[in-house]
Amino acid sequence: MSCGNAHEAALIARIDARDIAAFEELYRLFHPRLVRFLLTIMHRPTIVEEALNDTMMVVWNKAGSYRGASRVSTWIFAIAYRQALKALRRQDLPVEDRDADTRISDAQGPEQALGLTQANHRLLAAMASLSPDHRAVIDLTYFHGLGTRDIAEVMGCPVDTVKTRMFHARRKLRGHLPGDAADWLWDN
Amino acid sequence: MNVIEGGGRIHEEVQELLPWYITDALDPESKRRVEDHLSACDLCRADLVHERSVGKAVAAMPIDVELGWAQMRQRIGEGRSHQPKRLWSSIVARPHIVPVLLAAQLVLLVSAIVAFTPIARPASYHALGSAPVVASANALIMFQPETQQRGAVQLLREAEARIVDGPTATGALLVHVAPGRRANILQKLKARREIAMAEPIDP
Repeated sequence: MSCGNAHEAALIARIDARDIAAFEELYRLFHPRLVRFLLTIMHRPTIVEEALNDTMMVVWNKAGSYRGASRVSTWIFAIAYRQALKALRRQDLPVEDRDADTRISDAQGPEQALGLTQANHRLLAAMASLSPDHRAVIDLTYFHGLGTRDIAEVMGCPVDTVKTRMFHARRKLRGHLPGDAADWLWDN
Repeated sequence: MNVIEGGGRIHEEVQELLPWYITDALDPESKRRVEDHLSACDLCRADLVHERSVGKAVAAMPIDVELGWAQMRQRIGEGRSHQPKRLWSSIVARPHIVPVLLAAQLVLLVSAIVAFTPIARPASYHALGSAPVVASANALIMFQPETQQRGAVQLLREAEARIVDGPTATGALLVHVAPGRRANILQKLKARREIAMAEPIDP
């Protein structure tokens, strides 16, 4: 267990004792990561703010339920993931694209090399075309650096499901980012 | 369904594990199996190069500022605060956490300002046509880069969408569509290959 996690676990213990200073420190620690994670999944800034606060309210109220079996970040991301799905359902937005794994992408790309803005544009558009579940597994892997077991815990599914979701997400993403990676990766 | 071409259980396993090999999140045994297979499989080595690029790009991907800025501008313009009712109830029930939540709101506001600064500009509204436009944007549309102007205009006409602002730095348009038919209109737009993104924006 990392030093960072040990400190976060200590904060959780203090939060369980209703230590507001500890809660504020944890909030500030996790705010940037949660904004990124929730916005990637939900694509709706207005409900990101509410989902983030809902997540932290659960942390405040349920700190005693953290048993130390996983990293604190995994535990909090799992809460955030459930809050995001709840919010999407409240808004009647699709949580899972059931046909996403079998549908053939119709994305077409130009032959010319892409500049910075267009590369960003394409990647954002490609990510937007994925289901929230696929966006979550890609973001948790590449931005937050979680392994398969942690992601399975966050998403409440088996490890094999995480691997399958990631595989299909990558395939779909690749369909929207055609050609050689160097064509659209701006800093190569 | 056999979703992985190339044959062989170890090949399939390595294909699935490549992302976590790249982020060094595999246990030693899995990492060894991946490396053994990579030394013998051209396809997996090629995929590894591509996947590294994808991972690097996703990690560096900016938060979608356009959607956030559209919301922020509306809130600033309307001069109202967005406070969820359930959260307010929680605060009333626990008055001792008010200072924490006030600090949290301040952090969120500062983050939003920092995140949205790159595209900040005067909140003037531009509209097609000569009549003054009072409708606010309730959707964000982004065309594929290769879409011709004529096709874009035709699509907007069919959707009865009125441009409220844009294009933004990434080429997105803020539009107003009939609120009662918004979900249906955006669904139809998303189905068109000329459209890269069609998302609702809540007032």
